Amino acid sequence: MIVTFYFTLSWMMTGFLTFNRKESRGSREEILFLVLLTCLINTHTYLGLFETFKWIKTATTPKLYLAFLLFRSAFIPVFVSYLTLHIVNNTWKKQILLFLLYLLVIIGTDKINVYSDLYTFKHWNHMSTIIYYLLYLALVVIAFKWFQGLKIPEVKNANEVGRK
Amino acid sequence: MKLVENNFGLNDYFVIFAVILSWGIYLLLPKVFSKQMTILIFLYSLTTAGLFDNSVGAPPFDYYDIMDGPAYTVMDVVVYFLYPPFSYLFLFLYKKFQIQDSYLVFFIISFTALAIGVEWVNHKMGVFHYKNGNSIIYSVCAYLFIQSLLVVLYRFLLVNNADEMKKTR
Repeated sequence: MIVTFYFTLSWMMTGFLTFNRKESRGSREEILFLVLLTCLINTHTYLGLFETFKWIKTATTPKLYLAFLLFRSAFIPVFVSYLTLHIVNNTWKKQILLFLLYLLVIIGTDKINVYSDLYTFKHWNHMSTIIYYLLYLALVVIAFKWFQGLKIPEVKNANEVGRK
Repeated sequence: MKLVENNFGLNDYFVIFAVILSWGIYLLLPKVFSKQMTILIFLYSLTTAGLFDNSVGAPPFDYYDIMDGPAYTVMDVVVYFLYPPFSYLFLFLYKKFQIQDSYLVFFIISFTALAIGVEWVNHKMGVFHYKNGNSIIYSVCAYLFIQSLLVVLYRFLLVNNADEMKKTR
């Protein structure tokens, strides 16, 4: 059931990101950048938590591990990418609401994962998860703004050049 | 995080040499893509490699190890620096020779063969170790998929840019 749960969530978020897209929020390059970056960071962070520090123990049964892979490398990257696009392009009131939604989803999925035995905490707890995901979001937003700044400015219309 | 799992051996020297060589080739190549596109190419190669290493390469599947063993070391991270120049070279050649659709399959197959050759050298030098019934032949599927997806994404971005240019005219 947990595999279906994360597959459906990942599919839904991918649908939102692909079809509920406004060019003003982000170009295709920017969206692709967000998805790739969030996936890269989250995948390697969990690897560090499991393999290097051994603060969390992951499931060893293939079915649960597949659900965990969907959570770590599909749902979270697409969800955080979608949220980043909206956070960057909204008023501060909406930003607070989105931020609260983010915290709710992070705490909710963390509890579901522990309850479903996707992983077990060794030297880790829900508070550590929240701190990690706050840093994660902050880093992604900063990287996104940096990437936006790399875009080559469009050449002005010939008639506009030199106009006062 | 340790530098290496066992001793600093032949595979570690080889990886450092290969990283210098591949980035040297990248630096010699003309820069034909925008900064954003170059970053996306690099990020794509790092993310796909990371996904494979941390899904099929990790327990419970555990089909291969990188460098000395299963532990995540600094030299494992250095291996990731091999992928971006290779991806850049792939798209550079695709763009430079303006590969027609009718030749695209042959281009991807040729590059997959090259990638398999490079992986075989890496395997012989002790960078990759296959486990649990895995062998180099299964990497063909991975390369075909990853390179095809890279072309699809590149063309997807090109179409977008062309649409934007039409709008501004």
